[in-house]
Amino acid sequence: MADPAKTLTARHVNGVYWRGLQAQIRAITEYPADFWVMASSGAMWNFLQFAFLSVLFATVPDVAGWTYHEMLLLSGLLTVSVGSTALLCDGVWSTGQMVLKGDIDYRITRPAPVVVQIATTHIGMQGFGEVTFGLVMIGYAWVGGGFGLAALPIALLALVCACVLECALMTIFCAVNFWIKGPMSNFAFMFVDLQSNAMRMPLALFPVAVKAVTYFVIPVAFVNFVPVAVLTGQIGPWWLIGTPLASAAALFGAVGVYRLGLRSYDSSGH
Amino acid sequence: MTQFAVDRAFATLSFKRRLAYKTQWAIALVIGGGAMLVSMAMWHNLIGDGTLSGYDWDSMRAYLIIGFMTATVVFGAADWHIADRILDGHIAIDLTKPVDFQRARAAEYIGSMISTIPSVVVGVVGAWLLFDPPGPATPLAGVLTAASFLLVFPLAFGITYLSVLVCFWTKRYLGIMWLREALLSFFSGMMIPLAFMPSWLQGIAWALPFPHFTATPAAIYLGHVDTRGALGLLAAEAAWAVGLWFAGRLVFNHAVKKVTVHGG
Amino acid sequence: MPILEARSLTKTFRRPDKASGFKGAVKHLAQRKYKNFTAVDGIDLAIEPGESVAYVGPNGAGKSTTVKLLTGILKPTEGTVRVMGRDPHTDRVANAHDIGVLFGQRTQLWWDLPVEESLKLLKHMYGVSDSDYRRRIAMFDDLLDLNEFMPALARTLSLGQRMRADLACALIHSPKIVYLDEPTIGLDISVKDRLRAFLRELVEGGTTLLLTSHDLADIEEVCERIVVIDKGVIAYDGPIRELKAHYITTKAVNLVLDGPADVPALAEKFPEYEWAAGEAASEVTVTYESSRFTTAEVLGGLTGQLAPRDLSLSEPSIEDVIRRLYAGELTK
Repeated sequence: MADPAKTLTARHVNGVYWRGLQAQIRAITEYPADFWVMASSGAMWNFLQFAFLSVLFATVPDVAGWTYHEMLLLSGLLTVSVGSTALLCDGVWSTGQMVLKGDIDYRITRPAPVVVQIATTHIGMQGFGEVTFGLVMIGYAWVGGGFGLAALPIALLALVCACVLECALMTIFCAVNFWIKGPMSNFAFMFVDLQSNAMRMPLALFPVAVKAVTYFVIPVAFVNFVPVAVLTGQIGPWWLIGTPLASAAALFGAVGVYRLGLRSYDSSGH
Repeated sequence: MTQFAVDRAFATLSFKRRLAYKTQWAIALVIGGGAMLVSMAMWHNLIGDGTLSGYDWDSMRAYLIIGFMTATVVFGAADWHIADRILDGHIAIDLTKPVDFQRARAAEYIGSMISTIPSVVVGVVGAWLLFDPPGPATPLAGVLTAASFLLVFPLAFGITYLSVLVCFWTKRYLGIMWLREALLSFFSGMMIPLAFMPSWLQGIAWALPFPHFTATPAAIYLGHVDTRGALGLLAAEAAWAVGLWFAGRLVFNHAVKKVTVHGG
Repeated sequence: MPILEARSLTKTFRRPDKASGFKGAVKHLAQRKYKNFTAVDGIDLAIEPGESVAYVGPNGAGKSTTVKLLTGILKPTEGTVRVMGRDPHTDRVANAHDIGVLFGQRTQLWWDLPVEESLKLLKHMYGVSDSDYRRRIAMFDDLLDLNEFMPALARTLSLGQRMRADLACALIHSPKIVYLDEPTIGLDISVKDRLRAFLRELVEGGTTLLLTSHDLADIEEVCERIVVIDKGVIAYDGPIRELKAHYITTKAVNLVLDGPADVPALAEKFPEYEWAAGEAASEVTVTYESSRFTTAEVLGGLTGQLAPRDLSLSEPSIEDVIRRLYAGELTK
């Protein structure tokens, strides 16, 4: 019998993660009606964002200097990143529930990171609609805005980093439930909602304090605003470094906060 | 106990239950208020001193606050309780009781809507202090706007109830709820005033009950329609509320007969 | 060399001490008071490889907390735990490979997936080889009828099926030490019997077992050693046999007589025994001290004089002993 690794390797963690997600996808195929309803609702919201921008720009030429296609790009990138959290780490939303019911116990006794196990307990099917539609929106905006092939690598970098950053921030806000007990994280809920409202707009619309917060406190600006602003030349290109930096920092933050949460976990409740 | 006393009992219970979640009202305020602030910022930038599609900055401020009010009351209501009853099979017990299912759920739902009033009040007072919106076009318009707002309660229930009844056929409710909320947000004018939309899109909107959540009360308040027009809109809103109520009864009776109940 | 060693193991919880209601919550904001609650107090425990240990105690005694400390879920406030030389809390991952856990009240199956999927996910998590996996599944099927519900979704299983599936999950990686917390709760007797038989085989195969249960029949049928915990402290630690022998000083015979039993008369006639009425009017139970009388003596004397229609012997009951231990009537 082979002697299993007594420590966690990146390969092992990766394996646990992707297998967990795959298993959820297989479960989804059991209920095709559910899938289509959820995927459509994800697409619908974002289709309506598209409709909103289209209707608005029929009357106005720009919003704080941002054109129609630039706004679409901003919106699309946000949509894809939020949609990706539903696909990649939807399970973290149940952190609060699992803490209350003591379901974390089993996860601690298994040889895999607890946060990975919990993140893969669920996939939000609306994410399929959101990501698909978001990518369509980005494609449409890219072509319509004439961003060109040369800038494609930036788009790819932005996409990957946006997803990682969003997942990490979501995880951190859900981890609040380790300390503030409850079946759901109200902070996470408010975070997503506020971000979905505010970050579709150019930051120039808001007071400077908002810019400071979204850059340096909760770095949501790096999810969609900064990359698009760099692409349109509104801010200097070296700001782009902030995107992978913020993503990496948030990722470490998420792992760290979750670990802290587990340390404070005292498994009360049966 | 008379029927209305029963209604009141359900409503009060629902109201109290919602208030029990002490943070709920604050969260509704943050989310609704945040959305309103973002909209204010955007429209202020776009409109400035001018007018867009018949809205100047004065009227847009009022419009957005009205939108905030109805959004808070509608999105803060407890539709999950109705959905859960069907999904977990609790309805089997409900059907054996001499209480009209729809009526009881309506009372509960409206009770939960009432529990969002504190958020609405705080939000409106805050918005009024920050943005100083104009008053109603005429005092009568103000009264009729209030009437329109009151009609939002049964109207919201009618739409929600019908959408929840889909649970008799599906296993989950979340997607249905999101679809309904998305369509409501857009076609009510909460996202953008209907006047901005091309006429064919406005046509679609007015064929649906959704505009009465924001476009109708705002139009009355801002004096975009005269008294006759306002009464016409109110009649339409009331007609939708009544029509949806009976549609709900039809679908419910059909559903109970045809479909087996979930749950062990 | 013990496989598990706990020394002066202590766990104290800090709970906020606040009055209920809104006023209490506000007061607590201003003045943070905490109450300390010691669930486990200075426990010493050593388990050798291959032992089957029952861990028994009344509700709130500290059983679950102890198990959580031993499995690394909780960190001790004081004292140490070593499982195969490792600290299960700080060396969580390495320890995880060698332990199997079953919490009877909760499932570790993925709720929306077939049982088969859950086991496969665990197979990969623990790094079980394909051949080992097949072999073990076959064994579980043999002993627990696992294949009967392998394709079923976890949320459609009956309690008995779920427990069997959870047991397979706990053992799929052939751990050296297994912790079972109420594994038979809510099960009917036939499933219980199967589980106990399965656990006996497990122990015979060399697996170390720590079992907590309120069902004392579980304990008698599966375990050799019993540790009794009460109010966070160990009240008894030794072989079950000895527990019975030490504390059970009486035996009993149940007699069914020809006519109604006159208990007071019988008690007068045979004062050296204790007499009590049985379930039916003609039934009576005789309790005698096993150190003074042998069963043969008692039976001989009584059957001769009373000519009972039927009789049965009562085995010494561990329930009584435990009950008296809980009640603090017995000292070690």
